[in-house]
Amino acid sequence: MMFETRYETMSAAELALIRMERLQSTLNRAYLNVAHYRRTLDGAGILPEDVRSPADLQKLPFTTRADLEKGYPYDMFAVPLREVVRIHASLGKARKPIVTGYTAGDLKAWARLMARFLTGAGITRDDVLQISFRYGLMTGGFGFHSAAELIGASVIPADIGNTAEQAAIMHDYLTSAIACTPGFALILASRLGELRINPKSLRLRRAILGAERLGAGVRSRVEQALGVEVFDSYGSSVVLGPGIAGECSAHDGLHVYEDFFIPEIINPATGEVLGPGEKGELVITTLMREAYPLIRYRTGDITMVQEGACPCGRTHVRLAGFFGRTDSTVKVKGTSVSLDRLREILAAEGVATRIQLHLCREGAFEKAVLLVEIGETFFFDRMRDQKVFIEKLEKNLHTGTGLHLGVKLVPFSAFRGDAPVVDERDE
Amino acid sequence: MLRLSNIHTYYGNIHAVKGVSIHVNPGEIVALIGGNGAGKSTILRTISGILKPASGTIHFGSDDITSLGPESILRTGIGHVPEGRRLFKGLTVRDNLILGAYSRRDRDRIDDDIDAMERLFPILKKRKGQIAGTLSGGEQQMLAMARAMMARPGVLLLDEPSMGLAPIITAQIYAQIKALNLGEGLSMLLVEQNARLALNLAHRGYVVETGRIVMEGTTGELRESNEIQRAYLGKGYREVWE
Repeated sequence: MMFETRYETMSAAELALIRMERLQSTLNRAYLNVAHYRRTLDGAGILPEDVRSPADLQKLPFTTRADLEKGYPYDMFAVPLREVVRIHASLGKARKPIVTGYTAGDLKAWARLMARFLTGAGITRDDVLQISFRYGLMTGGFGFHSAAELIGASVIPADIGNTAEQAAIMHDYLTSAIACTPGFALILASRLGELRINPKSLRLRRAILGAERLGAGVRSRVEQALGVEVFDSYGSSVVLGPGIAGECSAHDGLHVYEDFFIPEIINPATGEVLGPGEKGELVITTLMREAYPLIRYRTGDITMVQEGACPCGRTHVRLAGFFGRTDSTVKVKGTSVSLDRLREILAAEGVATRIQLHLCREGAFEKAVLLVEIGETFFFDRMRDQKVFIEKLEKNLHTGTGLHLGVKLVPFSAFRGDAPVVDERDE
Repeated sequence: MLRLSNIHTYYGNIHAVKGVSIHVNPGEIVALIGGNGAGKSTILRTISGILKPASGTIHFGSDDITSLGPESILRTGIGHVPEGRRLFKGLTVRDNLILGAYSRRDRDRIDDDIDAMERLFPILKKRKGQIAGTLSGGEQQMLAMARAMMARPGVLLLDEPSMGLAPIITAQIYAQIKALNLGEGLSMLLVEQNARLALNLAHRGYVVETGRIVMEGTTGELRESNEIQRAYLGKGYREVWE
C-alpha cells in the first residue's frame, strides 16, 4: 500500500527533474533569506544559479551542527517568525539546543511523508495506533501523530513513561500498532510479563520504531516478545523529525523520500561523496522545507545506500540501516550523550584520565556504566572517601546530561579494548 | 513536455532571468506568480523566441528549441498570447484569426478551425467583420486567445489575460481558459499578477522573485503558504522588524 503512489513510484527522469527545480528554489530562498547561507555561498564564490545539475550540489559547502548551534535561536529560519506555526528544539544538556521552525506548509508536508511511511507499514484507518513517543519540544510524538490522523487511524497519544499503565492500555484499548523507540518496545514487553498479559492475547500486529538505531538483535527481540512485524524509520529532529526515510513491507532498507530530500553519503574525514554500497556519513539537503531549509547538512549518522530496485515498487533510494555515529555520540535511553561532554564534566572535578562507556540491557532496561581510569590525583585509601567522590561524579554527570550513569573507578587494564563506547544493548 | 533548464536572459543590461528551471506537463496549467518586474513575462518571451537566452536550454517534447527563431518555435506548437493582446487592431476579427494560422501548412483546414473558434468564443462570430480595435477589452482578449489557438499549439503561453479587465469579464475569460484546458487537453503556462486567480485556475505553480524561482508546488500548497498569502494574496502584512 502507498499513500502517494504518484510520488513514491516516480520515474528516475521525472524525479530528477523536480528535484533539480526544487533544489534551485531552495537555494534561492536560502540565499535570499538566511544570512548564514548567503555568507557561506559568497565565501565559496558560488551563486545559487551556479547549481545547474545534480553534480553541482557537491560544490556547495556543508552545513554542520555547529553552524546551526551558532544560529540559536532563530537565525537559520528562512521565514519571519510570524509565519512559523510550530517550534521544536533538540533536547539534552550535552549540547547547545538547536531550534527549528515549521510553517503550516511544512507541517502538512511532514504529515504526508510520515503517512507514506505508516501506509507502507500497513497502517490504515482501521488501526488503533498507540504513540509512545515523547510529545514535547522533541519532534517524535508529533510527527507520528499528525500522519496517523491524516490516514484516519485511531490515535492514542500515550507519550512515554507510565509503562505499566501503557501495557494495560495496549491490552484494554485494543492497540493494533505501537509507535515507539526499540528500547521502549522491550520495556513494554517486560511489563506485559509482569502484568501476566500474554502478548498473544493482544490485538497488536505492528511495531513502528524510530529515534534509535535498530540492530538485528533488538529487532528480533521486539518481534518475538510482542509478536509483531517491525518497521524501522529514520528521522532527525533538526531536518524535520521522523519522516526522512522509512521501511516498507519488503524489510530491506529504508526508503528516503527523495522528492523532499537529497541524501548523499560522504567520507566523514574527506567530505568526498561515496557511491552505493559504501558506508559513510549521511548528508541531507531539504527540497521543500520552508521555515528551515538545510543545505548539505551533516547528520553524523553512518549509513549506506542500498543498490538495486525494491520489490515494493517504490523508486526512492534505500538506506541499508544505520551503523553508528561519526562523532563519539551515543543515544542512551533516547538521549544523545557526547563522550566529549562527559569528559568535560569529569574534568571539572580534576579527572582527566581515560574513560569508557559501557551500555547493556538488564532485562528490557538500558544500563549505562562509565569506567573511569584511576589516576594519581584521585586515589583514595579509604573506601568511604572514594564512595563520596564517585557519588559526586555521578551527581554531576546527571546534572550535566540528564542521565543516571554509574561510575566505576578502575585501572585501564579493566577497560574492554580502547573504543570509547562498548555497546552491548543489541546482544 | 515543455522544459526550461537553467535559463538566463538579459533585457539590455538587466539580468532579468537568473538560472530558471521549470517544466509544464501534458495537460497541465502551470502558473508563474510574482511581483511586478520579477521576470515572469521575460520567461514567456524567452520561450517563444522573442528574446534569446544567454544560456540554458529549452526543450519542447524531445526537440531542443533553444536556438530557434519565433516563427519556428510557433511551428513546433508553442502559442503565445502576449501581454496587452497585440492584435492587428486595424484588421477585422476574421482577418486576425486567419493571420493566426499563417504558420500552418494545412491551409484547407483553416476555415474549419475558424468555425471551431467561433463556437468556443461565440462573441467572435457576432463580431466577425468588425475592426479588432473597436472590440471591448474582454473581446480583444478572447480574440487574442483564439488567434493563438489558430496555430494549433500544444502549449499556450498566456501573459496577464486579466489585465485591464473588469472582474466579471475576467471571470469569463478564465472560464474559457479552463474550458480550453479541459476540452482540448491544452497545456498552459500562465503569467498573472493576480495570484489568486492564477492559483485557482492552475494545477501547479512557481513563485518568481527577482528573476529566480523561489518556490514550486501544487497550487493547493502554494495557496496555503503564508509567504504567498502575504506577498501576493494581500493577506497580512510584513512587520517593520521583519
